[in-house]
Amino acid sequence: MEEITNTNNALLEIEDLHIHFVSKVETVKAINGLNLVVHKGKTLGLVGETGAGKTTTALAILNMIAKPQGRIVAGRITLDGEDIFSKTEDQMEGIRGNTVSMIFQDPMTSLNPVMTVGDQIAEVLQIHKKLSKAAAAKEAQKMLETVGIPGARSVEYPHQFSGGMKQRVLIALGLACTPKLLIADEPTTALDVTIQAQVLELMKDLKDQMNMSMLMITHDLGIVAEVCDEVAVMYAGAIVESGTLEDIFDRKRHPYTEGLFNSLPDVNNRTQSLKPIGGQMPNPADLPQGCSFHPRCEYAMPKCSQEEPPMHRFSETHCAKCWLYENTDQCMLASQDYVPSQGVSE
Amino acid sequence: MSTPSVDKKTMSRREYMKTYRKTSRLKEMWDVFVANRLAVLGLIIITIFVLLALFANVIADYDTVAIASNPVDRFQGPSWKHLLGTDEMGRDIFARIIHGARISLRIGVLSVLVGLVFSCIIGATAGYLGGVADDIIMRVIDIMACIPRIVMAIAIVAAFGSSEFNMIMALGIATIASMSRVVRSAVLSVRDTEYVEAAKAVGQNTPKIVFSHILVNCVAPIIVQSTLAIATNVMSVSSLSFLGMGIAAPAPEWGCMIATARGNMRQYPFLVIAPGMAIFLTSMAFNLVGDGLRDALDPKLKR
Repeated sequence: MEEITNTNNALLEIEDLHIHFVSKVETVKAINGLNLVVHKGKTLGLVGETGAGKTTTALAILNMIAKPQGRIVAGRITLDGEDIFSKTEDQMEGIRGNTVSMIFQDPMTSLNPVMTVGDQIAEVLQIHKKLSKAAAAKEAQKMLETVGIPGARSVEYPHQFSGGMKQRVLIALGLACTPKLLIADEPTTALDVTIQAQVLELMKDLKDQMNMSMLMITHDLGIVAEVCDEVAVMYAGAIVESGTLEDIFDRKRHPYTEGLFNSLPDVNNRTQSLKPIGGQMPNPADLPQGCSFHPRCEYAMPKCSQEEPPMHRFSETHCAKCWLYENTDQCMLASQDYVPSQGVSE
Repeated sequence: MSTPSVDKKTMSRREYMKTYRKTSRLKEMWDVFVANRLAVLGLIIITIFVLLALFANVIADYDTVAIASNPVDRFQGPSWKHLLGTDEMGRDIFARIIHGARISLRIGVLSVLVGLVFSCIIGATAGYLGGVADDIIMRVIDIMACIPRIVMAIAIVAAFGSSEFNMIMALGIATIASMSRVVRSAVLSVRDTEYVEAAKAVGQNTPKIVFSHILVNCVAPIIVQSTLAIATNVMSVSSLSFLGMGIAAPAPEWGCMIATARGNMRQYPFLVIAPGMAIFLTSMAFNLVGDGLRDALDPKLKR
């Protein structure tokens, strides 16, 4: 497999990751040859449909794939220069929450209902920073204030907070030890739109303040446009296209990426009807031969169902995995590249 | 709501609690508990029994009133002098009941605590580890559950002798089968919640996750099961003594009292009614309180 970008300033590197979930009946191939790089101080958006393997990727970074069913068949994850899979459970405990932490999808269920929010944040600080109980409690109050919750409310229980506040508590929890990498697993899916913007803004600010990297897992391209520097589009457990925000939004190359954009309403062309991607995500226990997207692809050629396409590089940052670009760098999609000189507002 | 004059950010915890929270968590639980009339009745009954047991020696001396026979006063009905009458040896039944409460409550509560410690370890291990470990542990528990608890207790007491310590251990072990199943199922339901995953994701170690995140969220079913178990064990103490396997004769044990009074119960029913009621009231009271606690302890339940 080809390296995606230069590795000098990479914080997280995932190379050729394969994860299978094995049961008596079938083997679910959740991740199939995933390559990913998150650079220091950058935000990478990991985009894809439900079931593409986004959360599995996140859990793999924390080395928290449920064993014994979940098996890491091949691949390597390097976080901050260290190989995650060679770590023992004890060593992992020192990494989780400290070097990398995760904000979970559902703020309603991700907080322990019988512990005060202050205690839950203090717990992390006690583990990693070895603070005393009192010092940790104080620090926890400070953390709450950073996310805009009065510190005095640290004595309250999760049920006394609203959904948006709980998500902010989770952010405080994730950031308590100033991790180098923050994984945000659809942090705003459970929130309503007005709060979404607030939470995203907050995460962006804190990310800049603490100078950390972020892996933003989402299926919402709007969020990607809002907060991400780079984007990786994921389909059936592998990256099909990756590049900078401009690469993906303005010069998309992969038919799946085009499909994702076509299923969004276009503000400039309100009469156009949405064009969803036909069909369903393939069953990960029974992936199609060749390119896993070919049964749903409008541009599918005979070759697509026989051989898996290689990653084609368009520029330093931009690459896509599709047979359309076997002999050319030209865009082969129906939708044309966005040309800024025409002066359409973003 | 009046606007507080203090700035939210600078106020201390105490000031904040005063200004913004009408009730603390404990007060909230207490309010839910009190709203359940039957639970309060149970708590009152338990309190009365506990107080009587604590001050048993002040109310009636053990050696002279509860143990020493007084043949002149045999089989007297209830009166102001003998609140619940006297038995076939002329001993005051009320005095014997309150001294019996000491034995029953002590063994009942301690045996459940013994069972609880083992059950939490067994149930949490099985539930959290899952897989083969779970299968092996739970099949052993299944085998234990096949033996009726009273038979199990009799077997243990018969093997090791009938001291109070042996009874506590016997009843404690007999409690493990049902209790560890409850703990396991509660742990299973909490194990896969997102906050446990989140605790793992912040680097918490396994024992801490099990104790401070999982077991704490299982207290409701465990408490209900424990109070039920106290009720059952109080009855088991009496059953064992009734069968002659528990506390021996001169001691004022409730089951033992019923056993000795059996011969005379047709002429003097109060001989068996008093200890019988004592057994009934304590076990019922523990059941009612358990129910009330279950409602009160649920953090999701808001008034």
